[in-house]
Amino acid sequence: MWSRLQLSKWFDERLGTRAIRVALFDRHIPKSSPLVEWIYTLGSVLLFFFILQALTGMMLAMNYVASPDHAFDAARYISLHAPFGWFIRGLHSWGATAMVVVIGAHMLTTFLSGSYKYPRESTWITGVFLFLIVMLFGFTGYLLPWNQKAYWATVVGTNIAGSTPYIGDYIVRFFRGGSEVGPQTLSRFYAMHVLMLPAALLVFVAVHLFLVVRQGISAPPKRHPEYGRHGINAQLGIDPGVGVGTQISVDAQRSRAVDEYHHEKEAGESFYPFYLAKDAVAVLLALAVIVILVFLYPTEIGEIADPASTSYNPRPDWYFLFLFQALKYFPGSMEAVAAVMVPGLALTVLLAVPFFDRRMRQHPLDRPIATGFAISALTGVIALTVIGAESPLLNPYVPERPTVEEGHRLFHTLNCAYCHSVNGRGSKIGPDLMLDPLKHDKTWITSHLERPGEVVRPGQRVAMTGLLPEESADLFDYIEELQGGGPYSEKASRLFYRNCGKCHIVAGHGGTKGPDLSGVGLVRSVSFIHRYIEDPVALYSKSQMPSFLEPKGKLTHIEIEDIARFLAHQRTAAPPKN
Amino acid sequence: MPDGNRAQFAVSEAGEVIENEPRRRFLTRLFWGAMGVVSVGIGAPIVSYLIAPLLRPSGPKDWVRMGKVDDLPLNVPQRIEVARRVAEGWVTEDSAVTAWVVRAPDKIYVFDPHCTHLGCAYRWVEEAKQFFCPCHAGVFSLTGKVVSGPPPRPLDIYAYEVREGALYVVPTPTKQVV
Repeated sequence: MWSRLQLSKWFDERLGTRAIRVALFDRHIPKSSPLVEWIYTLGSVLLFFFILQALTGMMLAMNYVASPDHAFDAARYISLHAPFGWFIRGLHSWGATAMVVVIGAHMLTTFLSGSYKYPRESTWITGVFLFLIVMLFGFTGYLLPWNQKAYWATVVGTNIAGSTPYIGDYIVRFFRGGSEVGPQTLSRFYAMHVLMLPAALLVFVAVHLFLVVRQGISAPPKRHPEYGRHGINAQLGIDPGVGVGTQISVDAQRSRAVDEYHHEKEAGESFYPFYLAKDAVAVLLALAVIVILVFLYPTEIGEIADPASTSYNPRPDWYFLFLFQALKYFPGSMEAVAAVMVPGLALTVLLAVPFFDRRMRQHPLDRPIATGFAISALTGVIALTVIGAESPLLNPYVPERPTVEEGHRLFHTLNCAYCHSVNGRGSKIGPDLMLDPLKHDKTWITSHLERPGEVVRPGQRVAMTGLLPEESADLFDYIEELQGGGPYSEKASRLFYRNCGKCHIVAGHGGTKGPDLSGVGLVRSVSFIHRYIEDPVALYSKSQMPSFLEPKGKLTHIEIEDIARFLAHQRTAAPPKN
Repeated sequence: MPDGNRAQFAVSEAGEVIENEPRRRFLTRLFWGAMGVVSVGIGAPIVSYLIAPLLRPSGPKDWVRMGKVDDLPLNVPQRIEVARRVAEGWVTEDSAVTAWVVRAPDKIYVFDPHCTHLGCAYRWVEEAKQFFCPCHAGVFSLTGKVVSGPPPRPLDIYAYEVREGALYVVPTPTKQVV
């Protein structure tokens, strides 16, 4: 048995592990205040999120195919059936959001503390590229679940890139792999997301980290107003400070800064364990935050992408929302300014700033213009994001129950319309599933679907394969929804006339202030009616109807569901006007 | 672990280490503790997700209806193919179940349609009243016994049941017990 010392000696002689350890872990870090030291953990947290995204991404790829006919089902399988799949998917999706937030904070603090200056210009530039790569990761990954949100965000996102003057059309086709968002887009985005971008990220992270070790982590900025050109603070009337009017050359500033840094570094403590312990705690806290978010807001499965849908409200993911919102303020001819030129200019400024801002003033108060610029840009982006997020949806959309949605898809993929119609559309061989009342109960219907022509009506030829129990249950839920969302209680009509009868007519009774609801079941699903009674303005901004849900109204969720089912069964008159 | 690290650092920067020994030891433990929690927090779900296929119980035996027994001729093998819905992972689709069925006077043979030699699909030759495998000339009798050629064992069978006059099989090949 070898002792630990012998083992480390063996490795050191072959790999030089001791030198590596000294360079990476024993390197000294300049001391600063506790607050600044916590801010300095952002880089490590970012590295942690990168590893987390890589690990969870590998797991997700194991149960995924990048093809429109299976991608949605695969993502749904991960969320519903794979053990801890929902958790891993949640970590990946919240991890993406966390990465954008943390990379933003990391860039902001680096900018405010002037750490991009000599000799760390290339660290900053690789960082800007890393930021770009992370944004591209977000953009390409968002499409992969192939749900409505994903599909329409990509349509909108690629169109924004398409407003680039002259080459816009080529950019759109480059991303989409064709003229429309479709199968080619999905596999293209998948290849970018899991092959190209990770390779690019790996290279830039390696260079970035090498530079961090090579140049050392910058010391917290000190006031050096004397480095200004004749003291810009003096011109602004702020603290004349030392050496107003003296000119110190940039080269002299740099050599002073280097000397200063070496002294501070000498006086500092080693990276391990004094700084890494803080990093580890920050990483643990960051993980705890996203785990809580995963539990509170699990990644939604959504509804399968439908290019023909006209009711969906397309929106990009939140970190592109500011761009989306900014476009609302520009007339069509000026769109390229907001969509491409401003972001392009911002990016150019970020890449070029270490070259035109060469003086060694690092403290944010010594650089009022840069600081003001950073803060106003940040405020602008946050404000646009908030306004964008809060702007009401023009096509309010009420999702159906997932099983109903699945049943609806099965109805189409199994070609049920060869025999059955829905609301008069389809063949008349079997009953109309919406208009003809159900003659049988759930057991009969599911048996009919699972063992056609065998259990229920022996001898009858049925042109279908027996369905799996889960499939027949989904189809039954869909049929039940078509029939008005299940049975309602005896109290439902009394509840309706007492609460709604003053304004609405059903079966010839009621007031005329609101629309006649005698045929509402033909045009609205029970989920929609339920949501409308809860919050009418959310679905129709000009609605005069008050909310009936407690505490605003006096109905409970159960009572509203009862009324909604009662109304969904009303299919006698012409549909209401709105 | 902390002891080992202390030894390493005592070598690299002796004077300072002794000075803040307790703080260093605390921070070292804090680092490894936090990293341990993070690794378990992420590692445990990932490992469960990875090894899930190993832990999944093999599902209940799935009976497939192959048709009515009365429709089967006596001692003439019939190749029966039926479709059924199979859910695997996120794909649910129609998949075929194929079997050679021989109705003998006393029992029914349901043969897996692959030769026991290398898994080629064999066929029935009415003139010879034998099953022939095209790959290496394996020959089986009406009851699946090896007549000649390389096959190491009789044809594999599917478990079957007759319910209300219909033949049900479990399409999992099993060795024939002779």
